[in-house]
Amino acid sequence: MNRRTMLTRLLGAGMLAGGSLGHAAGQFAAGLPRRLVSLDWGLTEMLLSLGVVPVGMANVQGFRRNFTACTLPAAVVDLGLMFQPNLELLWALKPELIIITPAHAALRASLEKVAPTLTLGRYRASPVPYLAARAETQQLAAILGREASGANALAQVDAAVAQARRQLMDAPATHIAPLYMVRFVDETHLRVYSTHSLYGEIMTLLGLHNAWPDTSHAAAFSTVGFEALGSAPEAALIYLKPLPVPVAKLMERSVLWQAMPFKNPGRMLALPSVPAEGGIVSAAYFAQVLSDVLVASADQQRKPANAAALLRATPDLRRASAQGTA
Amino acid sequence: MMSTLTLPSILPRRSPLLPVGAILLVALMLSLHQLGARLPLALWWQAVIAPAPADLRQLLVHDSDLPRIVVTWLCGAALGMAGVSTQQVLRNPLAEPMTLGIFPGAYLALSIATVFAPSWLDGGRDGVALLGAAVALTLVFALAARRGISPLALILGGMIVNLCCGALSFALALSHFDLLTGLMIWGGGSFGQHDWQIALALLTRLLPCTLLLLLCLRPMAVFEVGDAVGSSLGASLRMTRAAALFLTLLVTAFVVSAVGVIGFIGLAAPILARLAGARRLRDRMLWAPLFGAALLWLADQIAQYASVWYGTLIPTGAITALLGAPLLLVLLPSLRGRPDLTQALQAPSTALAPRALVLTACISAAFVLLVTGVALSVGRGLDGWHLSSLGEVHALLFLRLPHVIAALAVGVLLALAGGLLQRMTGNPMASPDVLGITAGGALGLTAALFLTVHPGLPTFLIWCAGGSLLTLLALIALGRASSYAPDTLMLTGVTISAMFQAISTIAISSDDPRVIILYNLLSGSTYNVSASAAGIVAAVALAALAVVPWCKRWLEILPLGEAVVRELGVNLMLARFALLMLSALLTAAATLIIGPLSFVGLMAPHMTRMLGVRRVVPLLFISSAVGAVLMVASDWLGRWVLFPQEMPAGVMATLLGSLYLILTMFKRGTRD
Repeated sequence: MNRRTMLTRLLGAGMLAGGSLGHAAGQFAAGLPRRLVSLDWGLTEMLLSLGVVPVGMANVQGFRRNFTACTLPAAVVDLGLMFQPNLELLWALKPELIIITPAHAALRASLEKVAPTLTLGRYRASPVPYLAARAETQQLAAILGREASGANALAQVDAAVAQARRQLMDAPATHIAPLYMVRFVDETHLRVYSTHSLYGEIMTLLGLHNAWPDTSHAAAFSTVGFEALGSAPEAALIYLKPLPVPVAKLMERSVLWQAMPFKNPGRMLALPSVPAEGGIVSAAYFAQVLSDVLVASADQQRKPANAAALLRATPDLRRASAQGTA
Repeated sequence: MMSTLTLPSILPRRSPLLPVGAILLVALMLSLHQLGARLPLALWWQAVIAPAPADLRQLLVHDSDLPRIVVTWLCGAALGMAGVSTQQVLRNPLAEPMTLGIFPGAYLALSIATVFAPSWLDGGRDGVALLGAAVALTLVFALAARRGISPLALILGGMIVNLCCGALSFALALSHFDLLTGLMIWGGGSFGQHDWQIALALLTRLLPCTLLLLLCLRPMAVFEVGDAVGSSLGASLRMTRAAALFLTLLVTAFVVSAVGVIGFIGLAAPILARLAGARRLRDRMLWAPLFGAALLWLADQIAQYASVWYGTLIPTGAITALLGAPLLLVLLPSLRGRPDLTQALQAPSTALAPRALVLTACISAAFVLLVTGVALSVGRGLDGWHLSSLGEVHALLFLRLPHVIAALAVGVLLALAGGLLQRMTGNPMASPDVLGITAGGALGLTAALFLTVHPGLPTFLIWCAGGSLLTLLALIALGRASSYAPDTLMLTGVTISAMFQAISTIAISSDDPRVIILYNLLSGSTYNVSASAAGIVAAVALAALAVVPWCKRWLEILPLGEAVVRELGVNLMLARFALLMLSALLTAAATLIIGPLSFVGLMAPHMTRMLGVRRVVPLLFISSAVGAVLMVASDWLGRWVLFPQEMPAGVMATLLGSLYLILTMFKRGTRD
């Protein structure tokens, strides 16, 4: 599915088309903040999901690189570094509200000299980041006087997750194997995500089983060597792209990797990159791409090998039909 | 040079076999225990000789555990050997191959490649890391070559390249943090193995270097006697020094590109070997690699156990420092320094005449005013550069004034602290951070970030002050025994810093999301300075300027040597203690305001000396003006050069200052 179309569907068509916040000004009651600045990528995603475009944000390039599911209008001003935004530029933008995360606590005093400052983004440290992000989205919607947009956004996310779940149900035998959800860091390290991560929560909602044991300290991910994944031999491995080239080479070369269970077809699947620190939009996007990849892999394995060419087209056909019925 | 370590003659002659054997035994037992947890004893032999392809446990032993141990041996031995030859040819017990630009060069090259040309790393890190190390090394040598590759010039050049590369890596990490997490994990020392490839590659690269280095052993022994005598003996000092350094740095570069940064082994292994009884170069060349291998093996085992225990990554490179540093601290009292400062005190240029001195002072004062004015009135916005109107200056004063005042004050404080220390110790390499105070502050910041929940500014301030204070107390306690002898003091400071550095390394390579905040805290920025804090630090700076002239007599007498000082009726211990306390307090005040910042304290006095200022009081005052100009200019430039990206003043000051020093080193060299 095209990311842009999915996001548009998620956010309600036309909400992003407004471009700058000025267009949406009429929707605000008097006294509500209209010129917003976000110093965090996840919070920018949250604003966009409410149909609000910030006047400025920190590290625009990084946001575009990581939050590929979101489209950021070109008019948004780049304020520079996330933890040292340019204060004079910030001042020149005359914001009415600055949104920060607890990690920005040390800057808060400086920022408050420019504009009222609101701390959000606690959802990331929560053991249930997805649920917490939902609650925070509603909270932000209430602050901005956009409760309807908030409810709408949540409903769209629910619909996307439900659709992904249905898709998995319709394709039998995909969700039985437990899954390791990982991101490869380098040859010796990978991050494996627990049930306390955004990914883990969505996997649970989709009826999938996380193969990484639930540790007591409720961390979203652990950084480990790949040999740590050997304990569940029946599990499949889902990794977030990109796969670093040295890691791919290692997989071909190393006897050790060859002995891991993921070498077999269908046991290692690549997923488009979804930011781990994202909110509800990223969650919906993750549900979508994960179910797509799992169903496509299941289809491929069920059919005999000589029909492989035909099968490669199958996911697209199925997706097209799904869109047709939606 | 600073000093050469010698053992007091009362120590009985002993063999290094016992301590090395003990370390090796502990490491072996830990390894066996770990192996036992992995695989039943009955299968060990099979796992080593021909592991069953279907048995993952056997494969792990054969292709992960065993090569890992071999790699620690190779790297430890290589670093130990590199340490001996570096310390030998530079005649400096603090010289370590890592401090000569190898690691920062490699790391910077890897950072640049990761961000701008990821495809360069497809074939592995070796090529890029070696390239970066080679460039850094060439630069260090080019800088030193102008001064005949003297130890001082090499260390100064290494320090400049080090700081410069470090600042650039820092700037990259701040702006492209999301791309560089992998590199940060690697930076802590990454020993995980998946086959024998790295071990074999290391072996084939290290062997020829070792053989060549052993060929240099005989000419290297001449360095025991010092440059002056060595030259008169007819030995070609420069050639030997260059060859030995080139080989050791090559060895270090191989190690770095294979396993990342392993600090402290290169420093500690040779010192331990010497303390354990290996005195002659030949003996040290044998025992230091053994110490290095044993230490690294032990450290790696401990790191593996600790990683399992804490459920998070503990980098081996940090454990080496945590193991080695206390050991060194305990052994420090049994070391005695033989200061070798002849070269350090050699003037790089002729002294200024009194009138020129007045002129220099006036010019530097004018510069302070000019830079302050520009910083307050010129800025950049969405429409480009502009001179602010009076109304805008007034409106923005609440943002600009605290930054400018803080930068001025911090520049003054650090320059004074550095000037006092350099004068007192007679060592031009002394900077406030060799005392470990900044490292203590940094450790406090790190601890606040990871141990408290969402710390705000006051929390950071308290923890930073606590860290600085604790370090100061430790320094006072440890320095007492030697009546605050400069070289013991600096060894202590460096050791404390290394230990704290290790903890920062653990934090940075922990793959924790808070690391980016740590980077911002450690970057030396005026960003979070409030108006009241700026006022306080300005008051401290003014007070410091008023107090410093009273130290004139001490500072003039102390460099003359202990005997002269006593003859002149000065209480040596009191003088040293007071000067130490003063510079520590100044450093602490600066660290509290903008975090650890090493450059200004080191370089401002140095630049002033290069201007030709010699006498104590003018030196201190002019260098504080230089420090202030450097800080304010850096703060201002950092804000606007990469607009809207803000480069912290600390990073900017390091880049500006290194550039200046590189230029002057080249220029002055040709004149000599």
